[in-house]
Amino acid sequence: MKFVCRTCERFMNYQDIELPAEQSLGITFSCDGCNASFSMVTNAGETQMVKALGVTLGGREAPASAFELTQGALKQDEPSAANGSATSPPVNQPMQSAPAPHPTPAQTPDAASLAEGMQASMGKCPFANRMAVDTARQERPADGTVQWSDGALRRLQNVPGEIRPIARQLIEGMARDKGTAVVDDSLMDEARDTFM
Amino acid sequence: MSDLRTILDRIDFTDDALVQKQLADQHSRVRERLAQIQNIVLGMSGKGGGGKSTVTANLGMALARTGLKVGILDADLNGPSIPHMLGLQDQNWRPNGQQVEPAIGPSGLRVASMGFFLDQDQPVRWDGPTHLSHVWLGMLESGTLREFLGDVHWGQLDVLLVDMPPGAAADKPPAILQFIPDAAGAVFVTTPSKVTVSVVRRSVAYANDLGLRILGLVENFADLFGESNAADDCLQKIPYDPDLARSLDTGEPLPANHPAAAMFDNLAAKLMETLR
Repeated sequence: MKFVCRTCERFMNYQDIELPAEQSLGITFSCDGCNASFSMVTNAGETQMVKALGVTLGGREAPASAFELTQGALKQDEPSAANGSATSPPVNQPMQSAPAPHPTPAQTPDAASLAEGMQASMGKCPFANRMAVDTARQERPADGTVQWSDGALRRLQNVPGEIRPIARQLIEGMARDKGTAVVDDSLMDEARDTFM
Repeated sequence: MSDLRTILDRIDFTDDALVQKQLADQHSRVRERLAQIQNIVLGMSGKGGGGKSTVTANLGMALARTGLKVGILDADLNGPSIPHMLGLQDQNWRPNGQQVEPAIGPSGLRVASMGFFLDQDQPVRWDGPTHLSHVWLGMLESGTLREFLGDVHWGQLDVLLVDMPPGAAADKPPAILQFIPDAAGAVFVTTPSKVTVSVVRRSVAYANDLGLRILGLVENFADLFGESNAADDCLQKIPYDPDLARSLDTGEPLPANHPAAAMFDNLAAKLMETLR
């Protein structure tokens, strides 16, 4: 999608991306000729459509990891209060009509604080710089790839789905900035402290 | 003020948000991965429950028994059954890198399935506004199929069988074919039921529209109604066999010398002959 400045008769340029509200993207374009700028604000369906493209507006710092889109888009089942695992009732047992409420992953202290911090920061868009082309790239793993420890990956899955892909990019960006090739629990702690 | 057509004729497109580049990169990744595969064969039908997965799983094993390197992509995202049929239901994928190794099934089959991302009995639940799923679901599933093609380390294969989801003219065949325009063709699975045959015919017509080569027809449950509705020159008729059904339920392949296994050996030979 491109926008044309009818005054200057030229394409407007992608400038940056913000998260103005839950399930909404604000994508800003500007005209180099007259400096006009405007932001396109997406609704939830359009936001999901952009996400479904599997691209990062403004470009990627590193190639996509395997099944990045699929893993980022799958909803994580809420853990069962009884055994901590996500299960459906066996087919030969009746469905509980009113399952007892249990905490969502975002309500666990760790995920809650990380998500809360990210959502609180949305107004000033801490992600925009990450999603735009990083012009001040620092030392990072030679091939730019970042691995996740099992523990860190589990904690990532607790971040609400709508901001999980962005959280992943952000945390991988932190890892690259630090010159580390692995996101582990200590980096997750750091991310939580940074975005709280 | 000039009209838009005049303006667009005059100015050059720039991909400054780098979206086009990333979409091109996605396609390149798939192309490079699939360049190592000699034949990509789609297993299709119009109906669900006709035996696509049964035929795909057993055809895969039969091809592998001949010494070919064979992969199976279970493209039925919402009803993956290949893992269970091949005894791979305990596989649990959590990819963490640039590619993921396929699960290794009987006879060395290399297998990828949405089932590897799901717990037992867990449906696919996409994280998104469900009331607007008509806007984004097709794109997301298309992206997931792209990742199955491009992110799995298939390696060098003689044949990759793609077990397609049910549906005559659904969005999945075009979604798959945009990534594999040079697919070798499709094997259609039907049953003697006239209802099924009529739907499969629609599916064949749709495949023709897409320019997909029809490699042949397999009639499953061939003796179920005491008559066959498939032409005599269909690739293979497969009567109901309780041992075959049991082997799929338990995930234990039939012995190679079992009569049902021999039928799939015959089907594999005919398919390879057609592909040559």
